[in-house]
Amino acid sequence: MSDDKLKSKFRPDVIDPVEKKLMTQEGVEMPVDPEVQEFLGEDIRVREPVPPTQSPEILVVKDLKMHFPVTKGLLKRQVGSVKAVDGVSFTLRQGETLGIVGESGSGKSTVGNCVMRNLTPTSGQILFDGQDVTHIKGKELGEFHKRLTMVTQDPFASLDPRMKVRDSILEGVRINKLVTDKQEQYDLVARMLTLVGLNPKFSDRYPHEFSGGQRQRISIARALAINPAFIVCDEIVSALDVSIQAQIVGLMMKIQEELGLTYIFIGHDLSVVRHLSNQVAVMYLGKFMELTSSDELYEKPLHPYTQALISAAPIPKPKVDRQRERILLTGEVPSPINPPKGCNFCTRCKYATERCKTEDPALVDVGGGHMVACHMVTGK
Amino acid sequence: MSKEKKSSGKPRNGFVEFMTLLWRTKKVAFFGMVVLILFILVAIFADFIAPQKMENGLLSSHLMEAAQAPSLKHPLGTDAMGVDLLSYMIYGARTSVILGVSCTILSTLISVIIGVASAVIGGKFDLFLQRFIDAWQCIPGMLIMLILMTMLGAGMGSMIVVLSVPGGIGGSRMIRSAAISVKDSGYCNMSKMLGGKNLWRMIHHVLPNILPLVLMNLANSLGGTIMMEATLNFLGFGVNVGTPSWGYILTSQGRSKMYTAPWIGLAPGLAITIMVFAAAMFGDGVRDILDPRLKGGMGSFSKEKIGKIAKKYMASKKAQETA
Repeated sequence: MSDDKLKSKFRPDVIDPVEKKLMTQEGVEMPVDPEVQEFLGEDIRVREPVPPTQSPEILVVKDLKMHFPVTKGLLKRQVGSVKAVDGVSFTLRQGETLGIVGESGSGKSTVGNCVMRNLTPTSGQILFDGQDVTHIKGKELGEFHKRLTMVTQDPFASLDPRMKVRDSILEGVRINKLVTDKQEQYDLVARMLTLVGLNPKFSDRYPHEFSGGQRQRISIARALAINPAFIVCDEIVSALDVSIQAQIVGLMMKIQEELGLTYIFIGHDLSVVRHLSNQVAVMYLGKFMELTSSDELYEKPLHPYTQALISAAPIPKPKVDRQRERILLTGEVPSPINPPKGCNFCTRCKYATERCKTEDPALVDVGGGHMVACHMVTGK
Repeated sequence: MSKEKKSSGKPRNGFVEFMTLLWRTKKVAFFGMVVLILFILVAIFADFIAPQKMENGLLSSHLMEAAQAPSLKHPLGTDAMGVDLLSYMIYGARTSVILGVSCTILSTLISVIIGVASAVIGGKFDLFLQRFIDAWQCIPGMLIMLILMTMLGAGMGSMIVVLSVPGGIGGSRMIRSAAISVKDSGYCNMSKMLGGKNLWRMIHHVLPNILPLVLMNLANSLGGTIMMEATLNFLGFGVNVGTPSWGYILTSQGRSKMYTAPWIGLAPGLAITIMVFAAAMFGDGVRDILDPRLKGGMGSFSKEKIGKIAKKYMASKKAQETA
């Protein structure tokens, strides 16, 4: 591995195998470094487009809205609201992954937090496994959190510095009294650490003894220890460097296959999200602009915003990258307190017409499950 | 904690381990602890140790021997009233050490309970509690103490209340602000997401993480408490009139006889200094040992202690693979 890394440093045409694997879309017959192979346990390959499966719908979100009030003065008079999420709907089947991409402030983390029920949505409905979880509280919420959990962005903040790795991993188990026997608890920790690719003897250590990637693995082990059916991954790789990102993404995919988990994967790295997701939603100013299968989205982006986003993502083939046309967006993202009347994107869209400025486009299926919210695509 | 250790096949006594670590890595802190224990023992067994015994709660004075320099008969000399200073110091430890230590612990306990509860529960509870504390702090501390003292009357019990409650309420501010920063951290939010109730988060996350501050608070307020007792004593609100106390003799006779009989001020001054220093060193050592991030802390020996479970698990896995 070190040899190849050195090569890639001096000869740009030799790409580090890990990155090559992650970036190249074909993903077949790629020379794999044995060390990486051993570490990941299995080949990381780009997922094939999944046909509409028969697995049950696990999460249904209908017209989710999360408005944060803006108050003013001594009496906390409400003068407006930040429309962080403004009417988002999607359906997720068991074993699938929904990727959510968008720039900062587009509301993707808020969607995750609403699904986690850390926030109570302003309106809309969240159905988890047929049960309406939009307004549950107390014990019901506790039961809900046994089946759905979250891995957060910053691995340096998400582990208690004064707790041993074992205690951190067992926290959810102890709170919910899932396993009470000490011996079984210890076995569980060893199993979880092995599952995420760490040595079981690390369980007696403290978080400061680990690197960022290892900590993120511990966070994942903590989430998995309560045996959830669903994990919300909120930008889990954005705080890690690229080679570690590849490891964590590979790990998440491996775990998904082994345990049949469902993910919402929030991120802003397009290639990582594509690699992991069956469906990808592009978010802009609290709304889904486009929602379709991941390969369709990257090969045939229909919404002008998606096109701009994809044209901004680098391709690891310099010749192609240089010849590509760049779509440059001008202007700023409008304030979510006062979004445009019509299409949210109309202020920066080069195709915008009078209709776009007055009428809000709905997310419409244009064939094959490809949903787009744009008058230019769907309009007559 | 000890239960967990037992199941890993190696019974580990947390207290013994702690003491070993303290002795091995923090010698100064260990001696600080020994000094504190010695002082407390002296205070408890004052009646057996003091060369001159107390009669009817008073030490008899021999005016003929007033303000004598240290000699064989009076190892620390005598005070202006002819009382043997060594006996005075030993009996004074009763007031100063026991009152000092218990009030410091009690006041820190009050601070921690108020501060942590206020931070973790938050919302309206926090708002009202903090406004009450604001109002409380508007009244001068000394005034509150004197009023309380008048209401409760003289005595050891009322002294403990008076010296710990006002300080504890005031000190809760600092604890609260530290607890809030822990409460809003990623791991505390994660704990909430996993279903952790307020009490769980207080005990497992907030308390361990504000511990350094609590220990610092403990060590720092010890000296202040001893001197505050002296102040109250000086104003006539002490345990009892004539009850020996280090702070009292330091402020009353120690200062006025500084040039003619310096030993009167030297003995209590040194005693207070040694005790506060010992407490500070002890607190420092405890803090370092309980912090796993520091070298020599509780975490530093864990690498050697590979859990037997892990070994067994790996062995069983290997056996499975070969089979």
